[in-house]
Amino acid sequence: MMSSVLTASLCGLDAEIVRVETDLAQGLPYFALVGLPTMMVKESKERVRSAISNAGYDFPMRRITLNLSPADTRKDGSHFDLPMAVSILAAEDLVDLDGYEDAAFFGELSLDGSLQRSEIGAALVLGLKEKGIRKIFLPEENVPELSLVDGVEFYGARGLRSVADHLNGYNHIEPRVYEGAYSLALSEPDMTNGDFSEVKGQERAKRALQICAAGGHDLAMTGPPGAGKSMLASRIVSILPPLTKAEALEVTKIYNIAGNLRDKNRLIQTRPYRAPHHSISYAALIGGGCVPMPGELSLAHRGVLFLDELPEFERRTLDMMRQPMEDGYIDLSRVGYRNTYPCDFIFIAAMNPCPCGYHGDPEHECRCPESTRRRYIGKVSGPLLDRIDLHLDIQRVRYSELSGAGRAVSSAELYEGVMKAREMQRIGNGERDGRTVLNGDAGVEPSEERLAMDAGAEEALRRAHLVFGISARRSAKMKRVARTIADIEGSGAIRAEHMAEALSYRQKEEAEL
Amino acid sequence: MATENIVIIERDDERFPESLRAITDAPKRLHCIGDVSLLRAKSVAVVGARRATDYGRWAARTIGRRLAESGVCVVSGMAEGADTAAHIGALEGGGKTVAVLGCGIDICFPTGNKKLKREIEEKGLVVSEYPPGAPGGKFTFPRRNRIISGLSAAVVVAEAGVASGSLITAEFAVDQGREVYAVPGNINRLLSAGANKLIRDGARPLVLIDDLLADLGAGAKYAQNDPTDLAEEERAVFNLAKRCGEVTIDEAASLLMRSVASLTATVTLLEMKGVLSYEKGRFFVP
Repeated sequence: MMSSVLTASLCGLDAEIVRVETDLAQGLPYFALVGLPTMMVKESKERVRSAISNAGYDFPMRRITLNLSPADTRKDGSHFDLPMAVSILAAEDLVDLDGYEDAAFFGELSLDGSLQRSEIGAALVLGLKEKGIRKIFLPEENVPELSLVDGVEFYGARGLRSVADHLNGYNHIEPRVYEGAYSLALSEPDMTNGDFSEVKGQERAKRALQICAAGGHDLAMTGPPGAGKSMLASRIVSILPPLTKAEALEVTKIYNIAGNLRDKNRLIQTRPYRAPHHSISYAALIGGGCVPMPGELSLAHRGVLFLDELPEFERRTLDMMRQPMEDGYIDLSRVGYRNTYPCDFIFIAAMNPCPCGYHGDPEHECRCPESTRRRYIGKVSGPLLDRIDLHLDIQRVRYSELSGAGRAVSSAELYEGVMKAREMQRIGNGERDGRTVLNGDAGVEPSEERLAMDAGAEEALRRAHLVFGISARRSAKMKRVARTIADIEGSGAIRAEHMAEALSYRQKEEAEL
Repeated sequence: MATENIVIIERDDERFPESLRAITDAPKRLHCIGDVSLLRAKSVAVVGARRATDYGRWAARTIGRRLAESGVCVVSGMAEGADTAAHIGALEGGGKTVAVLGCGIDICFPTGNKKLKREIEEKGLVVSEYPPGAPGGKFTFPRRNRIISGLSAAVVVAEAGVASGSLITAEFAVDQGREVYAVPGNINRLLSAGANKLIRDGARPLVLIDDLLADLGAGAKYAQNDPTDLAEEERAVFNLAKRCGEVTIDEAASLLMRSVASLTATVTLLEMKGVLSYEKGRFFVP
């Protein structure tokens, strides 16, 4: 009397197929669960026993051995309830698995036998699909959020009884299959954080953000309080191209695992914009915990990470960001776990020029001694700032500008330039893993042809080397930024004006100030 | 710090500057590192507040540079803010500069100026009346101000608040019969109050740097930095900066009806030509 049922367990972002095997043998009633279950999985025994009884079946009065195979990996989560119950019923011949040997099951059971929505449903489904599973029995409430997963039959069940009835051939559950799923949210930019036209008189900053969005560059803004740094940064999502389907699923998976799905029944369809407070611990930022969970870096994957008041962050915390930012992923190792989470985002940092915030402000007097100011700026390590492509000083807007002399450029106009640049990059840089390679992507070297400069641009860069003391390393960065600007303007070669504009975003040395 | 290259000049040494020997309370000896001949060069002191504003720093730096370009040695105190800017300006102008310290000559105060101090030791002169190793005290810094003014033909106060040490230098200068210039500032700004008061009390307002050079007989090396090889749009931006003083890119873009992007490019090109400076979101004619 043996049965086996498929399910999955998560390790990091990936799922591993787990076979739930049940053997019923003669002997005193006993329920043994093996295969490295964590405490949470061990508790399943009690839920499964009650759920089976309350679904109207007799719990087998025999020696039950339940094995979670492969037995050498840790199993965690409450979603093992359903496969365990089905496996027991199948071993007792109470359900017939004929035709569903290749189906997978997951879901947490209540004592009354009903199924609860699984927080990690999307992650499990995506993992199972990757492993070739095409039929999945799962809690009914999980089905709507999977509308972007095509080619899989979803059997959304209300409880254990309806699963059993379906398997036994009556009260058929109509499987839900999403084909060629289309979502409106994935075709338009996300305007939830507002439109750039609402920010008056910061046209230069908007231009810088457009360059960031177009080429995936990082940006550091320095300016006094009230200049609108966070207001500007948050609106960058309105000019970023919408997530692709694959990206939406990738991001949903991360949020699933972090238990952060804001809108319970939906997948994440907009680019994440994460702005953690500066009191954040390093574990919350890069990820951690005894079972390592994704941190803010990973939650910002495919989106934007905004750190306001950069020098207020703990230096150690900031320094931890450097490696993951370069690699695009983060490795978290703990006893028995080694999880890798992706973290590829646009990094935007904002800081005040000094502790009081008014250094260089024409209307307020700065009260900070020079040494205090230097110490404040020095809290952010050089290597971190060095990784940032664009550096921008911004000023508070005078009232006359606020009240509207000039016209404020809108997100729609900026978005047009971003999309043009993305298309240029798609053609010029090509694609990798289904994504356009962006000029700001760390690990990728743009081709010689793409970085071709006309004589004027060459001359500008040469002068910059002499006048501003731009190092070779910086000039490589400047070329990338100039390339993005040329892409926005639709130019094949980098021209002098593109290079000159890029150079205006150079990092200024303290000596230059 | 190597102590062997310190030159000690006693008051009766012939290298000891006459102008300094003449003042009351002249120092007994000077400890020097660098080009000792600068003690007798034609010099002007440029001093100002430590917590100088951008304006004050700009003024000190520009005056320092223009003086250096005209062959006048710039004397200052190597303090934070305006003093530092004056030294940097002088070095930029390819000229000579003298730093008078209020502590032992082997001590760098403020410590952030180590690089600057080394550069002045190489290209100019660092002077102190205190023996090597002497820590600076509350009174030593104001006291060395008499040497700053004593070494100079004139004293320029670039920016000073009401209780600024620069006012002490100005006072010494008056006692020693030196001409005092003060850079005027906004009358509602605390950090300009000191300099403005000096003007009220009889200091010469420094309205044109050329005036200062003319008074010194140094003559303007070149009239006003007015470059000729500018393209049309560059000329427009340059003229705007000259007319308005400090302008942000946004303001300039709307005034000249050009896109922010292309204006940014023009400003950077002009910056590389040395015609404009761009700092903290604003550009101006240096």
